Amino acid sequence: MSATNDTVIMQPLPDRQRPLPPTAHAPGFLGRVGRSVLDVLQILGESVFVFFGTLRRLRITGRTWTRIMAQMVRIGTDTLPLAFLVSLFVGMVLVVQAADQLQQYTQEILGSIVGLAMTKELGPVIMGFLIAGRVGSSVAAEIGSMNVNDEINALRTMDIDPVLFLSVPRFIAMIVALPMLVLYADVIGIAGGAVVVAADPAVKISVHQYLDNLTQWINFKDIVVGLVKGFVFAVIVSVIGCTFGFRTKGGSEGVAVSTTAAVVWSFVLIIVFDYIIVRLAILF
Amino acid sequence: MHEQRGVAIDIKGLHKSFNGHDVLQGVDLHIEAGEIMVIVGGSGEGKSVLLRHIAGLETADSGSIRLNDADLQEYLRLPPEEKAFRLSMVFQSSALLNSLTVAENVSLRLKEHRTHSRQEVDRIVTTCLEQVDLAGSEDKLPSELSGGMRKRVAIARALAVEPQVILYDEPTADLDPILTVQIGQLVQRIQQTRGATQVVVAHNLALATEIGTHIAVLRGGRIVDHQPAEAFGRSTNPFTQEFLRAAHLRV
Repeated sequence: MSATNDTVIMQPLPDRQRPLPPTAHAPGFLGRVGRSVLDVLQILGESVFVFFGTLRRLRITGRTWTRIMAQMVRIGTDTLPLAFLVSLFVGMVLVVQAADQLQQYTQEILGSIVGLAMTKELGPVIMGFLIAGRVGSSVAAEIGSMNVNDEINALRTMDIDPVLFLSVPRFIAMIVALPMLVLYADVIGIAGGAVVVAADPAVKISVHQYLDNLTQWINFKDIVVGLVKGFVFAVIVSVIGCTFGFRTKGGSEGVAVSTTAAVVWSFVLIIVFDYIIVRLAILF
Repeated sequence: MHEQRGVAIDIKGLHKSFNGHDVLQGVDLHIEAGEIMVIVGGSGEGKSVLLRHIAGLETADSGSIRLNDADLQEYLRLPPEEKAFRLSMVFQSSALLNSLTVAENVSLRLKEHRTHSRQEVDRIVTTCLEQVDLAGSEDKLPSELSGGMRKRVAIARALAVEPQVILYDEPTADLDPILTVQIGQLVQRIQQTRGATQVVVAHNLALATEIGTHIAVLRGGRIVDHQPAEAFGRSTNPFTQEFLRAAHLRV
């Protein structure tokens, strides 16, 4: 290499050409893990804050009642056709699968299998997922876009409490509508199973035997466990939807991120709390 | 002469930083009751942040804001029925609730706080919409309105609570020159008819000099110039002169 070239290389680069020094803020693996843990704790903390904030403001005034009814229609009535379709096919699939597995043994227990699966597990979880996907996402999107468009700040300047105005009606409507949807899903799922029992030649029992076995095995506690799950999932979906709505930042992209995150968090928490409730139900 | 119903605003040593970036670095500004104060400055100088502090939407790192000698933070903590005066804000985005009609948006605070009978609320909504030239639009949804109409509905919503202070964040942003003039006239009419203190954040110097009784220049997180509107063009402040030159408004 010539001296001239060396001289050129040794000359300090102008500021804008000099390579940037490694930034002190670039986190390593542990840093990223720590950041993620902190994010999760932050979201859980905010969710607890929204939950207790909503509980503290729980009251039904004339104006709140109107909003609760509007949300009940959105969460409950508008979901009925979809809930019907999903529950019906879940019940039908259960019978087809179980009947195939039980071919060599006895199909007489099909009723109890479908009944217990629907009331204790599939009814609440599937309705929880359905409402999280259909309503939880829209709650996060709606409140999120209100947030980025300053509508929530507008409420604050009008001395209107955003939690009372937005979160309370959704919370009340959800805890009423979701357990009712769970009952509805139980009935439709069981009916779906009965349809397959009646129509599928591979199933060797009668509808009467199916229902007889079902009523023998399902007791009141099973239905209550399903309803408790529905109630808890309703709390999760409404609180998570509102939390992500309230924490939305950054325009339409932020709304999209919040919407997706609300659904994912609801799904995960539904499964986690499903396990906790099942464990507690077995204990008691 | 209208009844003086505005509220004086006194801002002292206001500091605010976001993520280590100092946005407000000691803002001192006194706004007399009933005046139209226009705050001008370049983009990113913190005009909207200052306005949001006056509205109570941000909490300052240090410094104070007093409304008629009442500390803003103490005033905000009062229940609505105990507040001696009301403060309204017109947001840059209008911030109308999209699921509500124009009438429902305008009457929102009155209905939520149940301060008026239904007949009174209807009368107030009609009056406020007439004041912003939107009579007959009561049943329309915000999505059916143009940008200028939405802005006027936001002003009607602000007026409906009979405020003593109205804050405007870039009220003419995204509006054509004709609508800009209309909004400016509306702000002046509000001062003449209601006497409310109005604080307008704008980067449109022509509008500022047209409607403002006083103009303040925010630069580097501080108020660097504060003049009566008629004297603004003769200001010797170098930043103001630079601003005027840029706007081709130098007198």
